[in-house]
Formats: sequence, C-alpha cells, structure tokens
Amino acid sequence: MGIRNVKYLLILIPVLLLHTAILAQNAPKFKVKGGARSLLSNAEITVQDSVPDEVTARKNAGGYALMDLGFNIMPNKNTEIMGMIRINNKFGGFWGAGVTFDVRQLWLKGIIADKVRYQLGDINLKQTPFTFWNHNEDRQVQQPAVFDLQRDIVNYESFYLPGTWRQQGAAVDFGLESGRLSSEWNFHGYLTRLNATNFGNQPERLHAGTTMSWTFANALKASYNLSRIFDVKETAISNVLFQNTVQTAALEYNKSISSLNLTVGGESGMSSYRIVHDTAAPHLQDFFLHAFSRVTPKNKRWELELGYLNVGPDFRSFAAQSKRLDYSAVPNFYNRYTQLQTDRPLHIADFMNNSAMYRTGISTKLMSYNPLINNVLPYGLATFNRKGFYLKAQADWFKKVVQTSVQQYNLSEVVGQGTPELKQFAMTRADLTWHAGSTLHWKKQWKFTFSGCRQQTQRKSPREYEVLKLNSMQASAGIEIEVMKDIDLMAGYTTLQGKGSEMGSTRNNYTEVIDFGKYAADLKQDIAGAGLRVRFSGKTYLALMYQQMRHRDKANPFQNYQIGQMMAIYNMTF
Amino acid sequence: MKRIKFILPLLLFAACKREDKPFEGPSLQDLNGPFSMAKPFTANKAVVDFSKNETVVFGAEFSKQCDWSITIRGGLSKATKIITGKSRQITVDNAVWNGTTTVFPAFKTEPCKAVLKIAGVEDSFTLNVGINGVRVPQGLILTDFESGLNAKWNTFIQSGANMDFKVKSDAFSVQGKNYLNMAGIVTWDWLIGLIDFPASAYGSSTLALGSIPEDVYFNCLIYGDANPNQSRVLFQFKEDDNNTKAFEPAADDQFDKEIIVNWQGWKLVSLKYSDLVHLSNGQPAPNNGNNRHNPNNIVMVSMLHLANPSMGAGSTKIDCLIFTSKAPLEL
Repeated sequence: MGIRNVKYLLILIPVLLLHTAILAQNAPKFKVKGGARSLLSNAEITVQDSVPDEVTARKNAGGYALMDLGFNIMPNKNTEIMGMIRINNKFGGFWGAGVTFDVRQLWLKGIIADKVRYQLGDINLKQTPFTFWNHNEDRQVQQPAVFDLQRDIVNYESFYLPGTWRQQGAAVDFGLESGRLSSEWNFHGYLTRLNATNFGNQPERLHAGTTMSWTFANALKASYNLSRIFDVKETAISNVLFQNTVQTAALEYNKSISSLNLTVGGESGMSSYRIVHDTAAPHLQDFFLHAFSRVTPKNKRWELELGYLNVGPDFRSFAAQSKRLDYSAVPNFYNRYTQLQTDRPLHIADFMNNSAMYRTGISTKLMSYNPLINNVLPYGLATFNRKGFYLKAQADWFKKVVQTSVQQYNLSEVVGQGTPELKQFAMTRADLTWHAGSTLHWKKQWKFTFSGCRQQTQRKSPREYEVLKLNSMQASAGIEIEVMKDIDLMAGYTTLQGKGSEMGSTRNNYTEVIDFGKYAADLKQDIAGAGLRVRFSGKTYLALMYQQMRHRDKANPFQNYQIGQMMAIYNMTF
Repeated sequence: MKRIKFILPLLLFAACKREDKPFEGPSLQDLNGPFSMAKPFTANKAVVDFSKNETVVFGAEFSKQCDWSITIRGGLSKATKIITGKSRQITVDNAVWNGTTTVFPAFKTEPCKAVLKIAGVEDSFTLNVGINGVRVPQGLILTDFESGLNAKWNTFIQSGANMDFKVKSDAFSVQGKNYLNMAGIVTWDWLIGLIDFPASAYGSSTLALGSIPEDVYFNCLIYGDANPNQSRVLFQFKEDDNNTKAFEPAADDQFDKEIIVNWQGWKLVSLKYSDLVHLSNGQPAPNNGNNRHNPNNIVMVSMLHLANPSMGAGSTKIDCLIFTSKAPLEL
C-alpha cells in the first residue's frame, strides 16, 4: 500500500471513530479493540571456530513498533462484525519506508432466529486431538515468566488459543434440548479454504468438518466427528485430487462415587489418505483408539488419569498432525554464521522469540520435527505408529500455594521401522509451581517454577545395526519476585540436552517410508535470562530483559556459539 | 444405556482393520547388515542347447539385499551376456539366460564362464557353462545373409571409390557366418548402395506380418565403424494401401527410419512399426496412402546405405534383418 493511501486511511480512521462514537451514544454498538507493542533488541554473537569469522556482523540491532486497531461493530443485537488493521513500523524506516499496513483479522458472526450461530471470515476452530487440533508438542516444559513474555507474543501473533487453529471460512453451530429426556443435541460444522487454486496443478483445497454430539443427563456424552481435507474437482487443469478423511466416534461417561468423580471415555476412528488420479499414490487407511479413565475428588484438589493409546502407522490426519513449529523456517537473526556462512543450528531461544517460525495454518504434508525436543509424540496424540499407556496426575497443595503435575508415557511403535524390532518410547514430565509469597504470608508475589521433561527412545535388537538409544532432557527453573508494587524482577534458565542415536524415516511425497537416516546427537543448549517488568495495568507492561543463549554440540564443536541479547518490550492490549 | 457405553467403543475397534506388515520401509538388514552368501552361486545346467529353447537358471542367496550382476562370456566368440538385479535371492524370477547376448557378437557353440559380482563385495563367484546349440532367431527373417544375396532382391551399388558392398564371412561375423559389408566413397552423391526386399522374393504379394502395428517389430544388427564418417542406414517400409499389388508413391504409405550409426561395434536395433513416420529429405512429412500403419500391407522393404552428406564416405556392416511379433528380437 502506497504512502498516499496510508495518509488517507489515517485521516479516515479518526473520522470513522468520531462518527461511530456519536452513534454509540445511544447504544453500545461500537467497540475499539486492539493492542500496541514495541520491541527493541540488541544482540551479539560469539562463535567458537578455528577459523576467525570475518564475514558475519557480530552485533545485530533492530526493533519495531506496531499497533493493532480493531473495530467491533454490532449493527443489531444478532450480528457482530470485527475488522482489525495493523500498522507495523520497523525501526530505522522513515517517511514510510519499512512501514506495512495489513488487515489482521476480519470476521462476522451472528445468530439466526435465536437458534443458529454462524461465523464468516476468520474463525478459531478445533474438534478433537485426532481430527482437527492445534497441539503444542514442541513445548514440553513450562517456561519461566521471563521467557513467557515472548511466548505470549508468539501466541498473539499466531492466534493460538488452546487447541484451535485460526482458519478462514464459515462455521455454524446449533443445539437442541429435550427437557423430558434430559438430553441435548449439538451440531457444529465448518468449511474453510486451505489453498487457492493456481489454475494449473493445484486445485482449490478445502477443509470441511462436523461434530454432532449428544449429551444425556449430563452423564453420558457421545459424539461423531468428521474432518475432511479435499481438492475441488475441475478448479485446475490437473485432475489429481488430494483427499484426507478422518471419522471418529467419542464417548464419555461421568459418574459420582462417594466423594469422587469418575470419568471414563475414549475416542476411536479411521483415516483415509489418497490422491485420486495419481497412479503412484497409495491409499493409506488406518485406525486409532484412545481410551482413558479419570478420577478427581469433588473439591478438585487433585486429578488422576490413566489412558491407553493405539494409533496405526498409516493413520493420517493432517488437520490434527500439523505442527505449530516449522523447523524448516529461518531464524530472524544470525541465520548464517562462521567464515563459511553455514546455516546456524536452531536454538530453543529461536522457538521462543520468533513468531515467523510458527505456522498459522494446517499443513497437508508431514512436517519435520526435532527428536531431541519430542520424539515420543511429535504430532501430539495423533502421532501415528504409537501404542501404549500413560498416566497423568496433578495436585494442588496448601490451598494452591504449591501446584504439581506429573505425566508418564510408556509407548512403543505399532510396526517397526525397517525391522520387526520395535522402538520403545518413554517420557516423564514434572512441573512444580510454588507461590512462596503466599507461604510466607507476604503481600508481594514470590513465585518459583520448576519444570522438567525426560524422553528416552530405545530399540533393542540382537543385531547391532538396529540398536538405538536416544536420551533427551529439557528443564527449566524460574523466579518471579514483585520487588515493588507492580514491578517484577524475573529470572530463569532453560536447557535442552540430548545424547545418543536415532534413525529417522525419510518419506516420499505420499508419506511412505522409503529410507532411513542416522541421527546422532551430543548436544546442549541453554538460555539464561533476567529482567524487570513494570506493570501499568493488567494488560500493559514494559519489560527490560537480558538473555544469554548457548549452543554446544560435541559432534560439531566448531559450530558452537553463544548469543547475548538485550531487549525492551512494551506491550499493551485494549 | 449401560450396554451402549461399553459396546460402542468395542464395535468401533472391531470394525477397524490394519494392514499386516512386518515393518515399514526398506529392511535395515538390507541397508546396513553384513554380507554373506546364504546359498552358493549355482546354475541348473552345465551344458545347454539354446536351439531347443533350453535355458540356464542361476541361483544364489545372500544375507541382505544386494546389487548384483552375472556376466557370461563366450570362450571363443567373446560374446557377453549381462544379467543384473537388486535382490536378496537370485532365482528363476530374475536370472534366466535364454542364450541372448548383451554385447555382440552372438554366442557360438562354445564354453562360457559366468561370473557373479556383488556391489560392495570384493569376492566374485564363477561357474562354467557349455553351449552345444545356439539360439535360433524367431520371426520373419528377411535375410541373415547366410545364403548370400538373393537374386530376387533389387540391388543398386554406386561406382565410387573403395566400394565394398559384399557378403563376407570373417572375424567380424556376428550371427551365423555371414554378414553384408557396406562401404565406399561417393563424392557426387550420398547414396552408397541399396537393396530392395520385395515381398515377392518371399513367395507372397505382401510380407506375412500381423495387422496390428504395435505388435510388429523390425530388427537388425548394425556394425558401427571406428571412423568419423558416420554412416546412415535408411529403412523404407512400402505398403500397398489401394490393393494394386504394388507400391505407388502417390497413393500408398511409406514409413521410414534413418539410423545414424554413431557407435562402435555390433548393435541390435529394434523398431516398433507403429513408431515409424514418413520422411521426406530426412524430415517427417505427410503420407500419401491411408495414413495408417498397415504392416500386413508391406510389399517391399528397402535398405539404403547413405554417407554423411558433408563427407561422401561411409562404412558399416549389417546382418539379421528380421521381423518379430509382440516383442523386439532377442539374440
């Protein structure tokens, strides 16, 4: 958009605001929503290489200021319209250079006849972890507050809410109640567009789905879920059509026994993946079963869950297996380094502060993953070729002063990779949050967090070339102290360590295994940070932070590096 | 309701089925396992008579999938047959020798040596096989020159320098004893010589071929000389589409193939009749008959030996002009 257009818009916006504010005097038909953020960063890299790096600029400074301005309009009691624009200015730009002007979100929703809800445009959608779900399996440990600020920015930028993907299309919901039978029927349906046609080899690709559920006496809930990604015939010259269909049925039964609430449930279903008119493409079909039993007391102080998982090797559900983190993305600074200008290995800090590495839509290809970060369930519960049990427990202690949770997964492959011998996977997660201020009856907040995740992948075999063992550990510790009213001192440390070998699968375009690649690691990455946050309100803060990230790889010691980064973040939402 | 909540998941689970496969992807044993011979290299015959359609079946078994090759070499002819594969076993499915040749000349009645080599393995494994009857080409034989030049053929030979358009029997023989040598220098034209093979020379008005052009193959052995004068061999297949018992250029189809002889040694050339086009001055051109490939209408095959137009000299040899059905000739 040209500078002239921006000028006109900047004039137009206040006029619109004034006009609608006058209208709003009679009824609350207009709201302004949005946020503003400014980030300043100054980083410096140090590389441990035998050849001095005279190519990479050691220091990197930059930043931006942006504003999201959303207009929430309710033209009548049954309709709501939201449009949000973003003005982003990279520091260093002037007279319009470096300024971008985008539409960030646009949606319309309403109710028809007080019965049917609908939404058009940008929609947050989810179904179940096996049909359509935005899992977050690349974040296994709870991050200290000093790093959470950046994670919150990533979530805001990518529209991440628990389990949902931001899609564009249409959705409709309605429900029916029968008082006599104490039952309730709900219907949810959606149709979104994943890819536009290029009129050549890529047809229009859509994603449609529905969930129909029936709840009886608040005790039994049964649902049918359908998620289908498909190409629309005759929207391109090519007649090759992608199709991925997942159908599941879920059941959940709640019962109170004495002072305990017992829940027994599960979901099972089938997937079909094929590419019509592509003679080389297979037709992959498989199924999954997930069953669990959960116990919690009426006061909900603790919860215990035991589950069983069996997901077939050919189970494909791209809407549930898409990952947030795109490991093929390029980091936003120092993406090449050393005298040879090699690609800088990604650091866990890159995953914290770079929203450009996160997808905002689902992928219809299997995305790559880092086995050190998550080799047990890299695609969430819908990870194919896994079976076994898990146990989850969580508890609050001393009136929620201490909160703890533990998870243990013991899984194995359903079918071996290149051998009948199966890989065994184990994952142990533990989190602890201690509100020390409450313990000591201080008025100010003292909060300590500890989190850890240990993963082990192992394949035993009498044949040496089939033996694998990969161990990885992620851990974090953080402290958040309210030193003065609305001023917090924060510090934290997070590490990722891994050692051993694994054999990764090389897959063709149809997701079939065609080869194996040896993966060996002896790696340690960590990030230590400290900062000060000034809270102006619950939704506005200014933070000053310094963090030091280190990458140590014993297999490639000349690629070791460390980056120090100073940041100032101002963030406001309204 | 109590029953439903337990039966429904079980029904769902029971309704699903999974393909029973031992593992996904290629075998790690094949990719990374150690090599050893599980069963030795064998042949089912020590002596074979290919003229009676006998075959030799080789066998072996390895501890892993390997890229392997069996090279059979004639003790007298130096003919070579190469069979290759990628498998864990060598069996009748992938290693049958029916007397055919990969590197000409063709095999004779002679002792042969078969050598099995495996990629990445230093050792090789050897067997002896004797041939007491050679393979007999199957199909409509226009000529193998064993009886010389047929008087019923039409021949034209230029009177240039070093002209040699004769049937010979010497160390160059590729199949049987004789072949046709074609060489000379013609500075004023680029046709060195030609032979017309009329159907009448074979006792009928058209050649006894099938009517489906995709099933008819024309084959010949051509020798490329080690000289820079790239010879061209032009074959013309002349049909009688209007049933006049003769080829009429203005009313019948003619399909052509010009072969530039840019290799050294003997080579088996096979042409699928349906792939042929009509050429005019070396370029594809419209035909004048029914514009359809009708192999059963062929009344004459012409073979022209041409020199490179810029040089005027050419030298090549030819043998075994044979039509086969449904597949190229195997020699």
